[in-house]
Amino acid sequence: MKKRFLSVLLSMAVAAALAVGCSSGSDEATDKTQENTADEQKEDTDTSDGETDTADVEPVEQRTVYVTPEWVKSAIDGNQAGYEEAVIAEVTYTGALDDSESYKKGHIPGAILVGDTEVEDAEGTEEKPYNLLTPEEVESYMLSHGITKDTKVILYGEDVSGVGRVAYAYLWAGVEDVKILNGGLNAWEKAGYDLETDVNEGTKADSFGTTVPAHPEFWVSIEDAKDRLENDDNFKLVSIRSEDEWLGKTSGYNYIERGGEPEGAVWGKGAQTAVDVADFTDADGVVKDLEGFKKVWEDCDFTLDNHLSFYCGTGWRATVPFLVLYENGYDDISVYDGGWYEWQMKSDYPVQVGDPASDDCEHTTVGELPTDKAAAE
Amino acid sequence: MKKILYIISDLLIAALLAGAYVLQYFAKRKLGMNRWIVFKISKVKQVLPIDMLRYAAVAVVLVLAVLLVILYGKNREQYKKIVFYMVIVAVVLAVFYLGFTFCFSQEKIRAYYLALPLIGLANVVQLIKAFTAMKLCKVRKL
Repeated sequence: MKKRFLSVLLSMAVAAALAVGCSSGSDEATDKTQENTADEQKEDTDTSDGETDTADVEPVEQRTVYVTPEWVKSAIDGNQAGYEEAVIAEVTYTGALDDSESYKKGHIPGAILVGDTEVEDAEGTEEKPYNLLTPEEVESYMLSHGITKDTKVILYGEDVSGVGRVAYAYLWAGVEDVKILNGGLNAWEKAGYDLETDVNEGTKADSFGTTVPAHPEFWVSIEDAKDRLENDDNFKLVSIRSEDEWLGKTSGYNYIERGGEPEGAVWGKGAQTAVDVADFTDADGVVKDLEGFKKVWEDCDFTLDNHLSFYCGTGWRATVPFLVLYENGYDDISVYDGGWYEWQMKSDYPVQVGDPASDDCEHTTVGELPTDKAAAE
Repeated sequence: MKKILYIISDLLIAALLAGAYVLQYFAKRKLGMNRWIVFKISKVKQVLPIDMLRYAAVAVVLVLAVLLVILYGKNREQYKKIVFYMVIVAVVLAVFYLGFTFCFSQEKIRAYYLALPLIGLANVVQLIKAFTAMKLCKVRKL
């Protein structure tokens, strides 16, 4: 009995040793193959998009926001003077690694993670209606990533307006050079550039270098918006919302029950739904240039000589036209941060439902609006 | 029949706890989900005193859990081993419920108020199961 047990045990040990030996051999072989493939890819990259390819990419002005994948690659390659220490960051909703599947799958080499919730609150209350966080909070998050006013920041992400939201907040705070990879990761991959999966973190900074916000004029509160709508003829509150939202047929959101617009607002188009800025981008999600925006706006009720204060539902989509005008040298622009979400919380605030240029536009107050305009869940 | 009911209740508890996790998982990652949850909770708050209810619910579960332990402790030799495990699971779940209620908030866990009833319900199912087992799973005396 004992002998039989020992022989079984011995056979199992030999089988296990063979199995382990075989598998580690095949693992080694696989590893080697992968190493070779990686080396080959690296060689391919070195020859196809290495320094020689990006050396002649034209520099852009500090104020330029939307940049091409080629420009970003040339900055990474050290071919853009002054951008050697640029912070490249992927924008996700929270900026936490656990919540950022896209980052874990692969990101631009050297990119860190930042989040929309590092610049705006997530409370949704009347006191905190998804507006920008306090200057101290925004500054603290930026410093935790090593971002100061002099840091050159290059952002990208899956959501055009989510990235725009962070870029806008950084400019408001005082970062002097903020860029966005136009077209995001799709454009990067389309250009044939590699991704990495290593997790990167910024080096903390001690001092931002100026008082946050350095540009308070870029941010308009609900009280300012109401006051200037009533008293400033040059002030145009521009709705960056879909047509159905603009006409009050729907709020656009499953968490907003009322439909309509602040009374006196003008329509700036830009969106087909509450979660896109399709009119401002091409089919690949690349944000149009100023000429493209002018075409979208050619029959709108404002000019670029007005003070344009953009808004949407909660301040994401509105940042895209803001950034395009900003990069083209316009300073008399802002974002009314609270958007329709905050406005429809104030029962005595005036609203319009329908096209104000037509006869069937209803002028009323928030408190009188029906509460059946939430988008389907 | 008894075994099937136990398995179903185990699956139900797992589904409730998984549901709470999934809600929080998506609330953290998806802007729309986060805001939908905030909206739903604000609507519930308008009609229910949920801050008070959450404490009342956890208190009821704790009282039942303590009662379960006392009843089990009094006559533990008459119960089968399985009852012991059910009591342990019920206690662990109750402690988890208590900790979740008091250590977290909507600021820390976005789906807090939606997860609470799911965890509470999981506790209730486990308690019912444990009390039922105490009634049915006794060691036969010769």
